[in-house]
Amino acid sequence: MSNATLIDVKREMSSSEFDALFRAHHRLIYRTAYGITGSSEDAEDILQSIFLQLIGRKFPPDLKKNPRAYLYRAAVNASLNSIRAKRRNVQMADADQLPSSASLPEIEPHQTTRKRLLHAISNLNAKAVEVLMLRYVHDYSDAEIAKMLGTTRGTIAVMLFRSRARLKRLMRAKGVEP
Amino acid sequence: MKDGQENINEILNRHVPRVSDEQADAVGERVLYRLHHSTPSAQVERLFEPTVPQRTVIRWWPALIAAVAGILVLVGARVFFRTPSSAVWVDNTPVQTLSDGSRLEIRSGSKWQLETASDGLRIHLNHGSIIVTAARQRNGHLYVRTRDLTVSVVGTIFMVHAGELRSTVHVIEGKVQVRRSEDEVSLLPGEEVSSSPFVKKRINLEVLSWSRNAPSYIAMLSQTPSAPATEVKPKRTFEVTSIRPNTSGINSGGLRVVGDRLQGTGASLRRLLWYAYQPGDAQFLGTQILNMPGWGDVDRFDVDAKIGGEATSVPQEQIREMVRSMLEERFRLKAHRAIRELPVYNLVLIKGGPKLSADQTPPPEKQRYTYFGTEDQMLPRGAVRMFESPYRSAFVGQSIDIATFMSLIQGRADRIVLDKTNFTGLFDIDIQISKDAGPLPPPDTPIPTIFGALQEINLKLEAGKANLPVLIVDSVQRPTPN
Repeated sequence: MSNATLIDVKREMSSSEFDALFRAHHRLIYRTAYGITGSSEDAEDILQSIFLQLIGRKFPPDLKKNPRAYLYRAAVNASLNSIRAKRRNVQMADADQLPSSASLPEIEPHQTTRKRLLHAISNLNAKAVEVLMLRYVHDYSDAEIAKMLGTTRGTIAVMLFRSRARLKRLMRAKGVEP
Repeated sequence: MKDGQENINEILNRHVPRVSDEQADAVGERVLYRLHHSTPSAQVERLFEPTVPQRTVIRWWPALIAAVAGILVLVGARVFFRTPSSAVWVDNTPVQTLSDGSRLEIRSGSKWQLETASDGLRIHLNHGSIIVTAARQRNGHLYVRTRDLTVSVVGTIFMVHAGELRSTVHVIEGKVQVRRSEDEVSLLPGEEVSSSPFVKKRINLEVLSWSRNAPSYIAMLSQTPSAPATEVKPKRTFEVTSIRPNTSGINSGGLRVVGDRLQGTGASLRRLLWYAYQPGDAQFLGTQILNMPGWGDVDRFDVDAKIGGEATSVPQEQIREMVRSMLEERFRLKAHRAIRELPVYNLVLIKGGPKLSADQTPPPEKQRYTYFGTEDQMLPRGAVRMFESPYRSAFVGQSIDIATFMSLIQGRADRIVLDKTNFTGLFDIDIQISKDAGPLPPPDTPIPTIFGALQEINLKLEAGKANLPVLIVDSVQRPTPN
């Protein structure tokens, strides 16, 4: 990233505006990323990378129009990408180096459920994850989710229903009876 | 909503990871700091912000600014900020070096000014927090003033916070003098004082969490034996304690007094902390213990401790204190209590609330008990029969008040439940609640979750947030061998 590019961006947004944008939305992004990845380190990286990318390029029109929705979608996509990238890396690793299930420490049932839930969430499409996180991490009502995502309350109710059903099927496939 | 949907709803409510505002803010501070300091453009901005209207300059002469920035970066920010300091600064630059070599870390949003005094430098902190790493003062002093406190130092690290109602000073290293009107107090590392009350006490490490150097400050403080502000009473301890890694795989679910001993099989660290740090009569869940290490929920321990004397006559609070001593000694535990905003459930009425019992006469206090046993036992008004099976809990009772009902459902919820019903009547209950049974096969007849069961009697649990007492683990290790 060249200095020229970085400075060019400053024409679009001053430092104080950038800080204001960060302060207004960092909780939303961090909580979303943590809700999807379950890792504070990953969530912190995602928060940083999203704003770093904003420094590195001109601001998209969608960001100006509805910064909260734009950054929220960015958080969901970045979180899903992060999990999927990690999964690919694990699959590529030498299977002999992975611990066998027999050597894994005993895990509380609720931890197992959380892991399987997160795994199932990572297999949903981004739209489904968006509505689920707004409901279950941010405690939004159907109406608030609809307003945030620019759609109707009825659509959100259907999306939530289908997303939960899909999630249930995915968890069942992984051996959890929701 | 169908039962399957209710269950997945409950799993999501219970298991989706959440963080508090404080945690998110602490991370936000770190990330914003890194964003400001990790790119060349940020350095440009930081160096020019106090004097140059950067937006205009950068718009017209980007190449020139970049070049000048490069030079200034090489020369170093210290040179820039060593300009005569009689001028007043009020800005948000996170770290600044003063003309005497002292270093300020400024929490974002803080309002402060600097001026020269006859005998040194004086920082006026109007609002917010700063951490001062004071250089050794040769001929003068460095003062920090808030609305109600004055701090004078010779060479040390300390934090000052100016709030709406009071100011506080926290010492990390060295010694500072703090004055409030005619009163003056000396603070040593690990001590803090506020303007009201003006009494020394142990530092609360949480206040440093916004600093990018928080880990090193906390490490410094953890190595410093802080002088306690008040007389320390000798701690109650067990006569003999045995803690062994659990190898049997048996989990008895908690600690219990057996004879003159406190025993537990397969107890996790969280379970021990939960037992030891319950705050009085308030509800306290395992989820209110924060910053647990990964092994804290996985490793299991068998605990056998001799209480001494007539154990049955020892108050529960004294036994808890003994467990706290055991954790501090054997697990090297350092922890503190705080208040945090956490998810809760608010119990609210729907459709006017539960149907009132025919008899609204309050039952005598002695009749308000919970009976654990067979289902054919006749119970008086006010009493509740509770029946547990591997996959369900059942509650049956007549003329129950909302407080009794709250105590029943609290044990079935993974969050603190707050009564928001304002319901004063008596009502009858006959409900079953399914358990998160895991691998057990589901019963033939569907049993509602707690959410569904409450709706049957026109009550509802709504997700919300509230400030709750928490225990924050600062550091802990696996137990030392017996």
